[in-house]
Parts: sequence; structure tokens; C-alpha cells
Amino acid sequence: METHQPPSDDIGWKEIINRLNAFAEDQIRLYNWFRGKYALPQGYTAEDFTQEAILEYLTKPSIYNPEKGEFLAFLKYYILRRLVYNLSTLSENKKSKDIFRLDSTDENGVSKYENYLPIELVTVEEEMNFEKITDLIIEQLNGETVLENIFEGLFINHLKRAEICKHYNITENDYDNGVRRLGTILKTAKLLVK
Amino acid sequence: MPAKSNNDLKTILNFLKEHSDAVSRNNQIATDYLKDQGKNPDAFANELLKKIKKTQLQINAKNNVTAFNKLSSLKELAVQKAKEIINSPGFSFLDFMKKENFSLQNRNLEGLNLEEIQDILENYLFLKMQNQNTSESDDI
Repeated sequence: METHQPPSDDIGWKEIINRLNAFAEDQIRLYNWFRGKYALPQGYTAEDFTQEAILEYLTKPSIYNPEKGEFLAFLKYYILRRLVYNLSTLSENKKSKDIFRLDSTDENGVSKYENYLPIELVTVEEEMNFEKITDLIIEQLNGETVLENIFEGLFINHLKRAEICKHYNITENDYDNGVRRLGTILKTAKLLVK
Repeated sequence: MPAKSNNDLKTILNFLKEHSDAVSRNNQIATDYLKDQGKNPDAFANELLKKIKKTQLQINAKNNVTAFNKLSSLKELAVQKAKEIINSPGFSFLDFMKKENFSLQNRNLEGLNLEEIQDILENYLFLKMQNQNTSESDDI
């Protein structure tokens, strides 16, 4: 159910709005969670980003090239990511630092995702203990094969979604459900570490 | 920053991206997720849809005005050029037609007065410029 073209009717637009809004909501929630006490500057909400991203596209539709990927991905990773990045590097938010900005070298030029989510070094080094987090996740997997597979694929073998589905023979639906459940576990793990 | 920690961070960041993709995989999942977060996605989508339509209308209107202005200036240019041609020394309408390779069907050329010739020339030049303009835009 991927959307390769900009929508041509209300139903299509509503789907784009809802999906972009959910993506932004989750990103901001995770962003604030990872940055601890530092909230996104200026009280921006997911809805602000969603609206700004879509209206920016409308004023210059030619910036979207269908050959480079689906429309929603363009809104997510090209426009929305830049809007968030620009905001987080404003002078009043100097503490944030994009550690991947200089070394983000994606050969395909597609998803330089790391640019999108600036992480404060202090927060990460002092508050995040990767090994503890992964240990806690493993403890809570409770022998559920699908979750174990996804965890192994993402955290150990660094595979992509399609690769994980193929390698471990799980459906894309089960993958999505599994990732959402891992998210809940990860959030708990982070809180436990702290 | 040590390389290991950098990679760990990338792994976490990648997972966060996967998570956000998973909660926005389709319309139903996205809407349910937003409702779980205490949002009212339908109200927001309807509001934004109105703004999208308004913006599209504004952009279309702006484009129409630009196109209209372009045509108006072409028309002015055609009128001016027609005048120049008619007023050029030794102007002959028949020679001009031959040179430009265009014909007027069912018209008695002998009976045309200067005003009518000017009118025909203006229209001819205007159409010619418009065609040139269109093919130029097509090339871009």
C-alpha cells in the first residue's frame, strides 16, 4: 500500500496526512524521550510539521521526483526531516548537535536518516548504555521467535526490513507489529536503565 | 566520540525510524496510533485538507494571472510588430504572405483596406508568437 504519486483526491490526501502525521508524532515523541529534559524548541507539534511539509510541497511540486521513490517517503525524509533539522539547529537550541552531519555518506543518496534526528552527545553518552538496553530487551523477548528475529536482524545484523522478512521468513505485517512491540520494550528498557 | 558508541547510536536511530515507519504503514494503523496518543486525527486531516485545497486554488489562480499577463504582453508585441511591418518602406501584403507562406481562404485580397490588413497581421503574428511560446515551454 505504497503511494508513489501525489494524491489526486480527498481520500488520497487524507491518507497522506494521517500517515505523515503519525510518523511525525512518533518521531517527536521518541526525539523528546531520547533527549530527556530537552523538548523540541518552540513547542512545535507533529501537526505543525505535517502541515508545513505538505504546504511546502504544494508551493513547488516540481521538487518531488517520482523516479526517486514514493511520495510519502519524500515528505518524510526530504521535507519533514529538514524542517525538524532546521528547527533543532536554531541558535536558541545550541545544545543539540548533529553528530552524523559530516559523515553521512549514503551511496544511494536516499535515506540519510541520521541527519534527521540530532542527538545531544551528553545525553547519549551519559544516559544511554547500549549494552544494558540490549540486555534488557533480550530479557523481555520471552522466547518469542518473531521478536527475536527482528531484534537480531535490526540490532545485531543491521538488516533492512525487506531483508529481515525474507531471511527469517516473516510477513511484513508481522514485522511491523513486532517493531511496534519492540518499541514498547525499548522504551521500558531505557527507563529502567535511567 | 568512540566508533562503537557511534554505531550503537546509529542502530538505535535506525530502529526509531523503523518504529515510526511501522506506526505509519497505512491509513488505519496511522489513525489508530494517533488516537492512542490522544490526538484527533480526523479533525486535523479535515482542516488540513481545506488548507490544501485553498493553497492549490491560490497557486492555480496565480498561474492563470501569469499566463494571462504573458498573453497580454504578446498581444501588445504583435500589434507593435504589425505596425512596424505595415509602415516599413515598400510594404506589400502579398509579398509578406508569400514570404511567411500563409494564405487567407475565401478572402478578396484586393478589397482589404489598411485597417483590415493590420488586423490580419496582428492576429497572424499573435498566433505565431503563441505557438513559439508553447513549443519553447514544451522544450523545458
